[in-house]
Amino acid sequence: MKWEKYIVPASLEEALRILTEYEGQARVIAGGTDLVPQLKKKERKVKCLVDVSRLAELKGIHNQGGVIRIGAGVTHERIAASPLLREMATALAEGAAAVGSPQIRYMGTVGGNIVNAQPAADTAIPLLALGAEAEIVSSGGVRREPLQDLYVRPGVSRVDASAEILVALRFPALHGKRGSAFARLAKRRSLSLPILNAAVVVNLSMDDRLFEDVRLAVGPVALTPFRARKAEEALRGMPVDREAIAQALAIASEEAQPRANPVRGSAEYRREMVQVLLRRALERAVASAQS
Amino acid sequence: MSGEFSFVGKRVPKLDAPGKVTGQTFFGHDMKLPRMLYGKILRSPHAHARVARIDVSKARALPGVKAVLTAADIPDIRIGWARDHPILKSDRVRSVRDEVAAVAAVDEETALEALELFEVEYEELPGVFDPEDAMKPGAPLIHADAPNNIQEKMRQSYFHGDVQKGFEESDVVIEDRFRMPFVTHCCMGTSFCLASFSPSADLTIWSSTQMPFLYQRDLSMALGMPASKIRVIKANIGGAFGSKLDMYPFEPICVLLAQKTGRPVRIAFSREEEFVASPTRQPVICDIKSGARKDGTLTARQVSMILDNGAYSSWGATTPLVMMLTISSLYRVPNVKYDVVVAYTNNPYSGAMRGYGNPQATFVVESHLDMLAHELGMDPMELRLRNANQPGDVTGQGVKITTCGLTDCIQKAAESVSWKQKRAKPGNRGVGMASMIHVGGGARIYPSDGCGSTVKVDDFGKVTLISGSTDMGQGADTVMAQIVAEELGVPVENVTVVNTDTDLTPWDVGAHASRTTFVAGNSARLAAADAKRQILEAAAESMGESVEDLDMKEGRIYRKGEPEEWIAFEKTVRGKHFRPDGDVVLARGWYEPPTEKQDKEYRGNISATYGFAAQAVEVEVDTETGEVKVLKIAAAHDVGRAINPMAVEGQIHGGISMGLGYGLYEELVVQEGQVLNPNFADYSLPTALDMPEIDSIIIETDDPAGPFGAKGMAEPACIPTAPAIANAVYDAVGVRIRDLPITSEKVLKALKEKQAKAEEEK
Amino acid sequence: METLTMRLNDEEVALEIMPDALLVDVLRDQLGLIGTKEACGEGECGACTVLLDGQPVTSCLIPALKAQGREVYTVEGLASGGNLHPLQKSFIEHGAVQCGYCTPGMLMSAKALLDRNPHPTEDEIKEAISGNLCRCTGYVKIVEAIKAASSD
Repeated sequence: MKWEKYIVPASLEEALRILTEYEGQARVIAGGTDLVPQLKKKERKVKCLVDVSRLAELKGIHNQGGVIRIGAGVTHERIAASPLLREMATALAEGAAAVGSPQIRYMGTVGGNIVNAQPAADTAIPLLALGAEAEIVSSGGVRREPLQDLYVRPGVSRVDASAEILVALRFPALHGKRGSAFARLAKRRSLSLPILNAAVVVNLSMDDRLFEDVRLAVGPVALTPFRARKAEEALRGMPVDREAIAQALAIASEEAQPRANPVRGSAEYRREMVQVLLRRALERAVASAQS
Repeated sequence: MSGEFSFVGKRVPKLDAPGKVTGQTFFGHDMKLPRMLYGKILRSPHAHARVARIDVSKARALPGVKAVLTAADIPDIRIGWARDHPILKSDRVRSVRDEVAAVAAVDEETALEALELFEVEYEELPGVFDPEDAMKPGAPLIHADAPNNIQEKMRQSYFHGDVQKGFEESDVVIEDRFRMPFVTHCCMGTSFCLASFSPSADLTIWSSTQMPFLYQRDLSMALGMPASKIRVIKANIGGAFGSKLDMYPFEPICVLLAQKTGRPVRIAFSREEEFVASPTRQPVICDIKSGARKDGTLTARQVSMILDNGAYSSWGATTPLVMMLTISSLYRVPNVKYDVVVAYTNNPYSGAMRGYGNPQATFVVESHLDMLAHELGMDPMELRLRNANQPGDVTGQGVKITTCGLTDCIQKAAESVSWKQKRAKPGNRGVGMASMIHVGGGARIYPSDGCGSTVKVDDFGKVTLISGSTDMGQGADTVMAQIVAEELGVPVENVTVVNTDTDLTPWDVGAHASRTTFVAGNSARLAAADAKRQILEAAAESMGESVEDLDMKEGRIYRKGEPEEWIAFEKTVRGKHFRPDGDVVLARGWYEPPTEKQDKEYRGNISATYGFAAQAVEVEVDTETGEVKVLKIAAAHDVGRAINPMAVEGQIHGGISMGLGYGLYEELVVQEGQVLNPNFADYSLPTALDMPEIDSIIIETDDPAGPFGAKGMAEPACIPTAPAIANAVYDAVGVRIRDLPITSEKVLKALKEKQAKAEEEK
Repeated sequence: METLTMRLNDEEVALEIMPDALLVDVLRDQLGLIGTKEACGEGECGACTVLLDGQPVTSCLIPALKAQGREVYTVEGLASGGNLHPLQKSFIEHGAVQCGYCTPGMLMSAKALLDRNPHPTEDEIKEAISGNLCRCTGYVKIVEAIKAASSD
C-alpha cells in the first residue's frame, strides 16, 4: 500500500499530534502534486498522510503592515490571481502563474513546492529574491528561517515533513521605488519544467537613477535555488544603465554553475541564458519600480 | 460544386462523438471481462546483455499470480517482417525494451509486485548505439545472421536517369547532411490488448490494431493456430498514428498468458512503458546532393540514407519505400539516385508513424530545395512553381500523376502568409514554405490493396455498412456513412457503420497510407450502388416503371423529373421482403485500386492517385535565446474532394500539431539505448498555448478515381510542417538548422557562428 | 477500509475504499464511471481531469480521501436528464472530438472555465486547456467549440 492511513486533521494542533504519534512514519501532504507521484513510484515510504491543505492557519494572503504573509497551504492559482501579490510581489504572482498547468496550480501549494526542494521551483525562486522567511511549526514550538536555509540539495529539505509543518512565508511588500519581475525559459508554454527560471527584485533610489538594492535569483544553476550575490554586490549603488547591468550579469553567469541536462539543455546554453533572463527580468523590475 | 450533393461536402458531425462526449464509449482500457487477469511484462534494463539465468519461482509463488512465462515455456516464436524478433528473449537481450518474462495476476498491483520478484542474471555486453558505428568492423554483433549489423533485406538502391550527368549539367550543386531523431506517437490511449479463449479454443482478441486481418494472420503464424480460430475485434482506441500497424511481442504474449491460465488476460502499457517500449518514428541520417541550372530547372538529386534499425525489424526499416516517392517524384527531377542502408543497433526499433518516412524525406528534400533557391538567388516559391508536378506527369519512378493541385497549393499557402511582402525582410521574422507528395489512392505494398463492404438495408430504413476498414478516431466511419448516404440516396442519419470484427467484416488490408477514404470509400460506394439498384428494381417492379426512370434521394423514391411524388424507400424494402418470393436488400462491394506493385527496381504506379500539399509558415526568432515562435501556418491541401470538410480541417490541424512538434519540440532522448525522457513533462508535445494561427485551405481537384472525387489526406498534414519552419527560420535570421528538432539552443549556436564568421570576414 | 462520502455529480455517495486509493481509480473501478480516463498517471496530461469543489484537478494524483465531504464532478455529470450540456453539444457540432480519449478531461477543464468566466477570450480558453494534451485535433476545434458554447 502507498499509505495505510489518510487523515484530514481539523486543526494545526491535531496535525502536530498525529505527526508526533507516528514517530516519523507520517508525512504532511498539501496538494500532493509532488508527493503522490513519489509515493506511487515508491520513491518514498509512509504509513500515514496528514492532509493540511484545508487548515485555516495555512491559508490567506495578507499585508500585515508592510509584510506580506502567505499561508503555506495557499495554492499557486490563488497566488497568481491575487491582486495584492500582483502589485506588491509581481515576481511571485508571475512565477506561480508559470507552474505546470491549470490543474497543478489549483492543487499545488507554495509550501509543498518549497518542501519538495527543487532548485528551479517557480515560486521558490521569486520568494528567494523577495527575501522570504519561513515559519515552521513543530511539537517543539515555532521557528523562523530564511527560505534559502531550507534547501539542502535537490529533493532534500531542512523541513522535516514527518515532524514539522511549514505554516507561512513572509517577506516585505514591494512598494515605492521597489519592483520585481519573473522570467522563464522552457521548451514549450505549458506543462514544462523550466530550462531556467529567474526572479529579480530591485530597490531604486528616489530619483530612479541608481540601484540601491538588487536581488537576483535563478535556477536551476546549483543544488539549491541560487542568488547571484556577487552580481548583486556589483550592482548595488551603480547607475541604472545598460553597461552596469551587463557587467553585473556577466558576473552572475560566472557565479552560476548550471549542469548539463541531456533533455533540458547544455551547461553553456544555460549559463548564457542566465544573463539573458536576468537582464529581461531586471528591465521589467526596474520599469515596475519606476512607475 | 458541392451544391449538387446532399451529404458529400457537408460538415457532418462525427458519428461516435456523442458517446465520447458523455464518457459512455468503451475504450479498450475500460473493458473488463469476468475473471479477467492483468498481464505485465518484465523488460530488460540493459541495452545489450546475455541472459544467464531467469528464476521465476518467487514471482510464481506470489498470491494472486496465475501464470508466469519465459522463453523457456514457449517455442521459439519470432515475429516482424524479418522474423528477427523473438517474443520472449531467451539467451540475449538486445535493447532496453526487450521482453524477458511475463506474468498474469488477479490485479495490476499484484502483477507489478510480481515483476519485482523475478530474478534475472544478466552479463552485460558492449552495445552500439549509432548506425554508422554499428557498421564498422569490430562493432558488437547484434544478430548472428547480420554481418556488420546490416539488415540486408532493406538495403535499397533506386535510380532514374543519370545523376552524374545531371550534376555535370548543373550550374549550382550543393551537398549537405541532415539528421532526424527518434520521436514517438504519444497516443493518449496507451498500447493494449485483451485476449480470451472460448472453451473450444477459439481466440477472441480485442486490440488497438490498425490492420485487423493482417494481425489475424500474424497471430496465426506466431502462435501456430489456424487463423480461422482467431477473431480480432477492434476496441475503441485512444489514437494510433501508425503505432498499431504491426504486431508486437506483448500481443502474442497476452494470448499465451490467456491460453495458459484459461482466463481472459488484459495487458495495458503504463505511460512510461509506452515511451520506452512502443515503436518510434524512424530516425534518419541523410546525405543529399542537389543540382539545378541557373534558370531554376532542377537537374539532379542524389540521396543516401543510413537508418537505425534498432534491435529488431519493424516497419521503420521499410520507410524507404515511401521516402522513395518524394525523393524520386516531388517536383520534376530528371535524374535521381537513392541509396539506403539499414543497420541494427541496440536502440529502440521504429515502426510506422504518420507519414511513414515522408516527413523525414520531405524535411531533407524541401530544406535542400530552399538552399538551392538561395544559392541561385531565387525566390524559393518561384523555384517550386517552376518545377512543380503537373497533371498527366509520369515521373521517373513510373508514378502516374492524375489530379494535381500542387501549383494551386503553393500559391494559396504563400498568399495566406503574405509571402511577397514578408519574404527576405530585415528583422527577426521570416516566412518559409514546403510542399509534399504522398499516396492518395491506396499503396500497393501487399498483394491485395482492396477493401470489402456489405450494405444491409432493413425494413425500417436503417442502413448498415459493414466495412473491412478501421476507424482509429480519425473519422473514417463518418465519411463512409456520408458516401453511402449520398450514393444510396438516404439521409445520413439512417446509416450505421460496423467495422473491425474479422468474423463479420469483409477483408481490408488496414488503415495506413491514408487509404481509408479512398479505398474503403470506393468499396462502400460500390456496395451502396448495388443496394440502390436492388431497391430501385423492386420499386420499378411494383410501380410498373423502368428502373432508368426512377431515382432515390434522401430516402425518397420518385420518377425522375417528378420529385414531389415520392414513396418512402423503406416501404419498397418491406414490400420486396414480405411476400412469398421476397428477398431482403443485401449488397456487396469489393474495391481493388487499379495500381501496380513495384518491380524489382522499385518502379511502378503504386497508388491510384496522389495527394499534394503546401504549407507556408511565418516565424519570429528571439535572437537572444534562439527560441522560434510560429506565428501562422497556412496549409493548402489538395484532397480531391472534401467529403467532410470539418473532418479534413481536423486532420490538418492535428497533423500540423504533429509536424510542429517534430520541427520544434519533440525528441525521444536515447542515450546508450536508454530513453531519458519517458514522460510528458520532458517529452514536449505541443499544448494549446503552443499552437499558432492556422489557415486551412482545402483545394479540390475532383479526382476521377476517388469516391466522389476524394483522395487520402490524413498523413500529408504533418509532412511539410517541419521543413516549412526550418525554411522560415532561415528567411528570418539566416541560419540553417539541419537536424531536428530546431531547438532554441541550436538556433542560438548557429546565430553565433554566423556572427563570428561575419566578423572574421570583415 | 475507510468510508468515503462525497457529493458526486449532484448525488450523495458513500462507499468503502482502501485508504490509499486514488480518486481516478475509485471513480473508474468502484463507481463504474469510466468516462474519466487515465493516460499518464503522473498529472502531466490532464486526461483524468475532474472538478473538485468546482476546480479542475488531475484525479490520478488525488488521494480519494481528499475528496471526503467535498463536491466532485465528472464528465458523466455534465448532461442532465438526458440533455447534453452546451459544451458537449458544441464539441459534437464543431468537430472537437477525434479519438475521444482527451475529451472528458477537456470538457471538465472547459466547464471549470465557463463556470468562473462565462465569456472567455480565445487566449483565456487556450490557457484553461493548456494542461490537457491532445494528439489528434491540434486543439483548434476544441477552442472553437468552447468559444461557441460560451456565447450561448
